[in-house]
Amino acid sequence: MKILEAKNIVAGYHKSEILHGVSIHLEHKEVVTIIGPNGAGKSTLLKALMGYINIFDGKVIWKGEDITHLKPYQKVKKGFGYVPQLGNVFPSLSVLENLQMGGFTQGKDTIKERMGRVFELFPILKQKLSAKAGTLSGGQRQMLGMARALMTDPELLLLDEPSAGLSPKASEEVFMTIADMHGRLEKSIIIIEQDAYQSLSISDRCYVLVMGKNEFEDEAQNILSNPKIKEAYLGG
Amino acid sequence: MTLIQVIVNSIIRASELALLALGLTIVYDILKFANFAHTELAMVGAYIAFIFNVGLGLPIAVAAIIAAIATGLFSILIDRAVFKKMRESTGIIVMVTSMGVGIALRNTVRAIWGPDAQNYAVPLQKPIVTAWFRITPLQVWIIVIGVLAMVAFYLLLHYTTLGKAMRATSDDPALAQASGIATEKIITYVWFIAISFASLGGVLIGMETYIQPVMGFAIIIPVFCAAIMGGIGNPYGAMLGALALGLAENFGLYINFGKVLNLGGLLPFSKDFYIPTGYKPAISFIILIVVLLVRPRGILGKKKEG
Ligand SMILES: Nc1ncnc2c1ncn2[C@@H]1O[C@H](COP(=O)(O)OP(=O)(O)O)[C@@H](O)[C@H]1O
Ligand SMILES: [Mg+2]
Repeated sequence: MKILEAKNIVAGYHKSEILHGVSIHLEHKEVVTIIGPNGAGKSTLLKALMGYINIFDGKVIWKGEDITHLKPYQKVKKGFGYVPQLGNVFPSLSVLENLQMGGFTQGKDTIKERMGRVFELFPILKQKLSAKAGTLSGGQRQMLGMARALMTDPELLLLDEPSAGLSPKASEEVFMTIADMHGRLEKSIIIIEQDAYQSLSISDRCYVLVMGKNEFEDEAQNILSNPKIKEAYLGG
Repeated sequence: MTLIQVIVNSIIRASELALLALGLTIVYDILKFANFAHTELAMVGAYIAFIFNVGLGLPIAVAAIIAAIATGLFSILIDRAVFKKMRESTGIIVMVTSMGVGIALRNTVRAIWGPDAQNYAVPLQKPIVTAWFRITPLQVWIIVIGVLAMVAFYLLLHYTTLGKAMRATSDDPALAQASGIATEKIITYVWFIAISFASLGGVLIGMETYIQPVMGFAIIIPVFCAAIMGGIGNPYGAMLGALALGLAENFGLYINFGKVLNLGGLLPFSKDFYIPTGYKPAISFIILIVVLLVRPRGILGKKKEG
């Protein structure tokens, strides 16, 4: 069952058009990676899906419902969770407050219960509850960003370059956690990555985006096992 | 005048300034523009209280509360009509617009009530006299209300969901929306809180002296000075800045600069020199300039994240 379908998305900032008709879809409980060169419009696509920027043309369909023009906070209520690449935490708020804000739309009891579940996935956060998020390491911030997004128990997670700027070890931990969110929590996930090996290894499918257009798509396994495609899109 | 009296006067002044500087700073924090209509809205609040107090004969406390609520709501209307359309504009454009709003408010009030000073219907204040200082019951109230407002604001920011959402929105509005926070709603609350506090400050100043259409314009420099000195956008900075400015204004008039110049009698010349009372407003102006030159981000201001 397709839960998300973006059809011919034309979008951009103010009047400059960045996406010239991008189409992607996501099956229930699927993990999809979007790769592409710097500036291809990957982050812009996530912002368009979340409702941060104007969609000039095209449609976003969520479980059969047209949600193209909903605002970000309304999309959160529909079941979207978003972790941006930069600014993935509230730096002047404590870890605990970041999680509470993640649960802003939820009741007090729900917040408590979700926090318990989030700590199972991110034990490190439990030890840092009163630390200001701005003082965390890059890897810890990424963890907190994902934990914050999980507080609404979203069906869909949009992760923008979750491993950017992280050490190999931290990045491995992040991808293990993403695999967990998929395996244990049964989330449907869209991941954006530039360096996509790790991401592809936990993905079902992959889209390649170039200059605001769909360039290529395939099963993640096919891309990883085909040297030619690997060379073309992953730089060998 | 005793030293203690000077300190008491400073605290009274700081309480008034803090009520105003706090609102200015939180609007700046969330909306990223310096609202030059802020003190004019305090003046509007003072006149709304005048209607209920003098016009309708209600006690001033009741009139002040009604005015705080009414002015808070009025600021939400102004936001909807003017500032909401400018959320994407740079701070400087919105700031200039707010100057226009301020001028419009001042002249509207002047057109209705005339330019002259007027007084609230409050009983004559009989000062409490001690050996070291004298203070009127009203001034005690000013301090109590100032301190209560600061404590309430601290509790709001740290112990309520609304307060945390305000801080989250200030940190990162996009991420706040990604957390399901309707930031426009938060902005509405921020206006209400900021301008009700300002209105309260306006009424207190009006009670201590008088109300006049130019009263908002007259306090714009000290209020901006307090907010900027503490680090604009930082509520605790606004409180600290108000205290620092209250002290500076009162000690500025109290200190014999003649003694300062001859190093307390070390140098052979002696002549008393006090800053004339008429120059009191200049003190905040000079401090503002010095702060902007030496430490533009203020005492508690964050470094710009680069
Ligand atoms: N806030 C913005 N305003 C205007 N243009 C932007 C903004 N953010 C990104 N762009 C432009 O959009 C294009 C795509 O950027 P982005 O989606 O971030 O690429 P990617 O994530 O694939 O590296 C780039 O040309 C970039 O300059
Ligand atoms: Mg990007």
